[in-house]
Amino acid sequence: MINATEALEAAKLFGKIALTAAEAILKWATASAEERKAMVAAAQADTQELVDWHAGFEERAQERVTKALKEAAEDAGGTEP
Amino acid sequence: MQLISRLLVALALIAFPMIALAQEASAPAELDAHEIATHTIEAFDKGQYQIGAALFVVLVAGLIRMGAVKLPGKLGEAAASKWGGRVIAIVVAQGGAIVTAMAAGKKITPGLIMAGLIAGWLGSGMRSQAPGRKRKAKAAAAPAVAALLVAAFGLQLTGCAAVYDNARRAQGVASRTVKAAGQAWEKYDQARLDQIKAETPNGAERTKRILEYANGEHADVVKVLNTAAKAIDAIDRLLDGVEAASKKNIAAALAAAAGAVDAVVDMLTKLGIKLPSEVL
Repeated sequence: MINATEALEAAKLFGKIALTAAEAILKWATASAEERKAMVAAAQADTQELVDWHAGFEERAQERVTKALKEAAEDAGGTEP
Repeated sequence: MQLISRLLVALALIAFPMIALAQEASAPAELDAHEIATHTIEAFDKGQYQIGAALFVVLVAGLIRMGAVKLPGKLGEAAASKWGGRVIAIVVAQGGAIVTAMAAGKKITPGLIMAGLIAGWLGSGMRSQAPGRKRKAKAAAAPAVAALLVAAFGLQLTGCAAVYDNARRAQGVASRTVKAAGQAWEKYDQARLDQIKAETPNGAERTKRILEYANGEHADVVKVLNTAAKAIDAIDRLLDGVEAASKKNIAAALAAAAGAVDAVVDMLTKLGIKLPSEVL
């Protein structure tokens, strides 16, 4: 059972979705075949960029923590944890 | 039956402007958003879909009028004016009511449309009682979440090529959002570690604080971002093999990605991370 606050949030999201849908339909309806092709290609390129960025994401996150721990261990005068 | 429907529409067409004029002449409609939301839920719970949809129109129209749902560009400017705002709020909200009824598998009747129009008018005079109106709408306002849900909904309705392309475009928007959010967090993460270092000169104490952070908040964000990136990648694989994947599977993947992107924006907003303009 949802409450009134959740219903308000849902209504906000619904309004946003209705607008996004209208915008997307208009954009699509007024685009030429070539433009549509370009839109899809741009979307695929965006996804590839995400995949490339995400490929080293966990390693970079781990590296930052490892570096901070190493510095802390050095300051403590002991060995790395 | 058809005659009754026509009579109802005619009656509503006469009644609607009269109600509107009477309403303008008297005190402006001051409806409470919370109260309407409660009645909406009750109506849907009882299976009164038409009443529920009409009340939902009141909510959406009111939220547009109050600025809780922002209209883009010139529409937004028009929404700020008295009459233009009412008309826009009603038209947008009426569309919402029709989609709601369709989603609930209900027939679109003249009664529903007229109820929607009248309710939309009432809603456009709703007073500002929505909780958190002033705070920035977080995930609910993320265009990527809306785009993914629209694409999922479109796939459930039809299977034409444009819908698949729209799914691809929604995926592109979501990709940009997650990457931008992820990059913003990477900067924040480094800043947090630098802050711990600056605040804790003692090496042993600092090690303890870094580990607490790394195993807590840091790990949580990594997990949420990983989930979102994988969810978006899953759509890509389904769309690449579109003949093998059913519409239902793609729609489910889009909806799952919407939830995952929502979680990313939600978490970063809670952490107070300033997200790039394309994310919100």
